[in-house]
Amino acid sequence: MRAFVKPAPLSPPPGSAPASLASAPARPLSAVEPDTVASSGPAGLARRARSRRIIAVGGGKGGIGKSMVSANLGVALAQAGHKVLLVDADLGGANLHTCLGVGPPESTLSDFLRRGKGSLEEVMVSTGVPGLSLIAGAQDSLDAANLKYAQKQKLLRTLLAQTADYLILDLGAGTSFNTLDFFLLADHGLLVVLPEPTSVENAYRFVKAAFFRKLQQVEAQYGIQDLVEGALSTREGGLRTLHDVVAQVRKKAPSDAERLERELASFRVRLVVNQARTDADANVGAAMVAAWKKFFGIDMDDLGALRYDDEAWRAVRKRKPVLIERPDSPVSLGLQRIATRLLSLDGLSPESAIP
Amino acid sequence: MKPFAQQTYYEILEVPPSASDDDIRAAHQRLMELYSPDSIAVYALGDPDQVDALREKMTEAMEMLTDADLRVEYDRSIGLSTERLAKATVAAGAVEKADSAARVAEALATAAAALAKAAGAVDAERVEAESRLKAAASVNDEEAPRTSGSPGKSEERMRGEESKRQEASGEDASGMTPEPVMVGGVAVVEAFRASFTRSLSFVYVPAGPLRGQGRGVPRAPPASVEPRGQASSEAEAPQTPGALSTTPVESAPVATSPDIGAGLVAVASMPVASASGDVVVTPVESASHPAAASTPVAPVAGDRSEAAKTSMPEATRAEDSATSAPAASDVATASVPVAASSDRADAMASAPTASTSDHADVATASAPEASTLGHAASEPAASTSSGHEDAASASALVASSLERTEAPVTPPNEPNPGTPTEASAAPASSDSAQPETPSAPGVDSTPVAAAPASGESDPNPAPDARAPSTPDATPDVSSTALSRTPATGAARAAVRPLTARPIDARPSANTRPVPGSKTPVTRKLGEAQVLSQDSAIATAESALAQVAARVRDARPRGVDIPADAEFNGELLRRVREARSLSIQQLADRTRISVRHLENVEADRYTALPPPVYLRGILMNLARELGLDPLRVSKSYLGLFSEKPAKSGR
Repeated sequence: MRAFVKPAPLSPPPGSAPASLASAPARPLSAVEPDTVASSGPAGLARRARSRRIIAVGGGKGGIGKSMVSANLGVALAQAGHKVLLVDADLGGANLHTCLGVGPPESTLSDFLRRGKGSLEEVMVSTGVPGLSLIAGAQDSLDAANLKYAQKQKLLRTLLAQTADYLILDLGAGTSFNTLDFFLLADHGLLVVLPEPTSVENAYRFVKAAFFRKLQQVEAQYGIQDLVEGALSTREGGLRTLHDVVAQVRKKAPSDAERLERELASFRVRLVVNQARTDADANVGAAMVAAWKKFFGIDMDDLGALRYDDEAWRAVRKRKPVLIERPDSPVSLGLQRIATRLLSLDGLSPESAIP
Repeated sequence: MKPFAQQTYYEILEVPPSASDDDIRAAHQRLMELYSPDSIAVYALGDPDQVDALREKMTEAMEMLTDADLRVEYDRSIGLSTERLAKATVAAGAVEKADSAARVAEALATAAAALAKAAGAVDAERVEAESRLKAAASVNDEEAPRTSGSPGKSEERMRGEESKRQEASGEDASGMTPEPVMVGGVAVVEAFRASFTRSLSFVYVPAGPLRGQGRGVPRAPPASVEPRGQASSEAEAPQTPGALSTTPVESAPVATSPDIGAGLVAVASMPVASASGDVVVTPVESASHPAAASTPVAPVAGDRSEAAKTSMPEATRAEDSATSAPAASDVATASVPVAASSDRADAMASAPTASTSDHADVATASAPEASTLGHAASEPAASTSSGHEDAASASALVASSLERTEAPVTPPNEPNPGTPTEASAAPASSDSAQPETPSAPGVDSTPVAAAPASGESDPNPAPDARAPSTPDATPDVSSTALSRTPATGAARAAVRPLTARPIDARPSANTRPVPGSKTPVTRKLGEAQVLSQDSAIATAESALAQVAARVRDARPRGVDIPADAEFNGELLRRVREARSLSIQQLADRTRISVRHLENVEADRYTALPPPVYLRGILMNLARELGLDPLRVSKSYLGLFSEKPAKSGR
């Protein structure tokens, strides 16, 4: 956790000086500015034309199917009639294009970030699925994974300005600030886990890190910098201190505490259990939700489990989304179910959403 | 969002408060699997110790909630709302009467708005139930004949009392009576309804509780009269109301020896008295299972009192047998509403204690028993006070403790309402409580309250409590000579609670109530009436939570630092000492050299390193001391730059 703490000062105190460095227009960096957080989603975007919903797919651990879920979810939502933009935000290990059967892309995110490409549209790639476009991850530069703060701001801002119905961010493994910030940006933070200890461990760590990152973003508002810092420097197990942070704020100003609590609660993590081999595996998601709630009082949602299915593996070998390759396979049905759940969460029934 | 350490058993098990035993066991089973050491879902979720603690708590919760008696106690201790109680009773499938009673209770609770009234009602219900049970179980055949006539009498008496109360200042007791009636009605006769409505009307009359209590003494005589009626009535529902009325009166009046005596006498007719004391819990039971409850009631009462005190009614099992599971749950709900956790506990404890004391008096009629009871009470009180002292650092704590004490002091029935009110006016109320003490009954309560307030050593308060209590006891005894076995049981119960578990703040609070409950509280309670039960409970709970939080934070925080304080070396030293850290320890933790630390604390500016380094030192130091690093460094560096320094040596 130490390592985690150290960089904290470097990360942008929301709305602070770096904004000017970003050569950003007057528009505030609301993407990461918590004080403008609207109840419905991140960062005061409500008033702006933007993607209706942002879905971030993370999970902490690598190799758990984040990209597979992202790609197929994109396909499912596009098939449901939505305009979907898939963004490979796994900057160091981009392979979303492979999952979708798109060859090595001509232009990637890093072109947008580092070169003169003025708009994301210029680096978008069509995927062959109607309504689904892709912004492939940076593949070309060796330090693509190390996004500079200004670059990140630019990217976040631009992403938020997208007008697609759904913006799906495929995140990388780990709990780097870049990853966490993208995760926190989303309306739906999809957390992919495998029913095995390694993945669960990393998933919990990832969510904890996300919540403290969230706290860091808002700490100035509540005057809890030292508290958050203290909480971050405590060893693992950490989120217990989330209660203390809230309690501390409550002592100062009960209304602030409520606001903070609401803000923390407004960020909903949604679990997807991948590669469930047994019924017990399929129930791990519900169990994790219950345990998380019990320990930290924060709600997560269980979107359901994806069956372990060789079809998924075969589809990857063919470099096609399983949803297109084998729409009737168990894993495809599971993916469809999850897409439906998400749509209903957003109040868009799959049918009515079709234009 | 609260840590599971603060969750109720229901929250721990993730079941609704209305869950059946089977549901609870199933939930427990499921959770034990979920949190089993080899469960994937909780792997690395928290510290293994945390998970183990959670599992332990879950098992504890399951054991507690599947034991009907314990559950009743627990429900009461966490202050489940009257509404829930009512619903529970309904769910229990109690007779139509029960439903009506529940509605009435609800109506009373909401409409009456007066917490005291509500509490009283609840207690009354319980009392009634108990009394009924007792009556049913041990109903004297002799009394039975009377019953037919007696119920009416009891009602009349009740009315008379009510009217008196109204005159005095609408008493809780009257309020209590109605509800009990309801309960009784459920269990027994429709006649109760009539009395109930009447009683309700009484309840509505909001007079100064204090007055009511004070007047209660005069009323007490009527109560004593009632006993007969109760005895007879006990067999019947109508009687119950009478008993109830008496009980509430007792509890409230307890402060005043006469009232108590009357109540005791009335109830005293044997178990009844004890029942009344214990009653709080029982009403529901009576409704659901009057017959079954009857025998167990007496023991149950004792158990309950204990449980209440401890907050973990382990002893209560007797009750279980008496009351079937559903009944128990109902009861529990009913009881819950009455008091908030601590307050409730206090209230409960106080109620039991009061009853016990009364019983004791009755039983022995001789001073010795009373004294013993008093001692027992005093002891717990002492423990409580000690606990408070610890917490005492925060004035808020004191206030809360005072409140609690007051609450306990207040009649068992009304304690909750009283407590909240007091809480709001915490300091004032505490003071008032002390003044009240002068009255013979009040004396006990006063000492207790004073002890927590002043944060004095336990011993002092305890003795005081005892002294007053004994006197009170004696008067009561004389008045109640009638009481018999029940008294002893009550006495035991009281003792148990005292010894039970003073560890938690709540328990301590309970203990205090015990002494106070006997007499002094009453008046205060009356004052407090204004608030509705629920709100009172909520207030009390929040106050408790705050207190707990402060206690927790107070220790690490140590010194109180004004918002505009300048962090000079002196202040830093005080903070350090408040945290009982030596310079050496601090140096070890911060890796700042002892020399620097000493220089900082001595404000030897010239001996300190340049500001760049000093700032780091100060930040580190402040962090270790739990202070705001920025504030400390800014403040200290301000001084550092202003003053040429005291010259380093």
